[in-house]
Amino acid sequence: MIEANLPNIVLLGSDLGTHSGLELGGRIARYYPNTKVIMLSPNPNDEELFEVIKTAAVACLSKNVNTPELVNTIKRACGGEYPINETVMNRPRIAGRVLEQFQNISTIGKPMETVITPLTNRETQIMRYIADGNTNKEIGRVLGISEQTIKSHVSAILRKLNANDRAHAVALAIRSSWITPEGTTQEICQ
Amino acid sequence: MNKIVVMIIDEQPFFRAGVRQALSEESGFEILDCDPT
Repeated sequence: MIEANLPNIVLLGSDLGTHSGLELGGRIARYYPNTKVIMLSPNPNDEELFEVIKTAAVACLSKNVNTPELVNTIKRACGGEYPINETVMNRPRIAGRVLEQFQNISTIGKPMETVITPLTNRETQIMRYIADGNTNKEIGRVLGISEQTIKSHVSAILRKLNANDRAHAVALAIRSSWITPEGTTQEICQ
Repeated sequence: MNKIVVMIIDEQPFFRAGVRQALSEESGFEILDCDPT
């Protein structure tokens, strides 16, 4: 449904006590970065809000939110804002936990952007072949799938990375360390 | 001006209908909804 319609905003209402809504929100935010997720919870407490932050939702509102506030939040999210930031800043305990998590990730030794990639394993694999200068036809032959399927994957990659073309996508992927600048497809072929 | 496409995902049909109704009174939105189950 998301793939077919590519909404600007998803209003994800869920009982945040269960993890299904959180998982769905996380997957949407990860695989469709142009779709902004706003979580709607019956009564979000600190623990739930912390879990929502981890899904990369841009806002978390009560299900009892009034229409003007909902509309305002949607418009701000569409404009690239993260209203959830204000919610966090108003709750010092949550802000402290977020900071602690951030510090933990930083100590792994990798830049933040390398920890999460919006691309699937297959898309990352195809990105490596593109980076090595292969055409869709060549990639399809090596992977044993049709050129049309490769085209679909490439379209998804461009959309997810907000890239203008293949070269731009490769540059973004290398810059974020999702693929390495050195040729890597040779070892895959062997 | 392009409309903002909003998708409402919730298990409760009444909640989806309520949000849809509220947003439909505002201009500039295209509203979709679906049941995640």
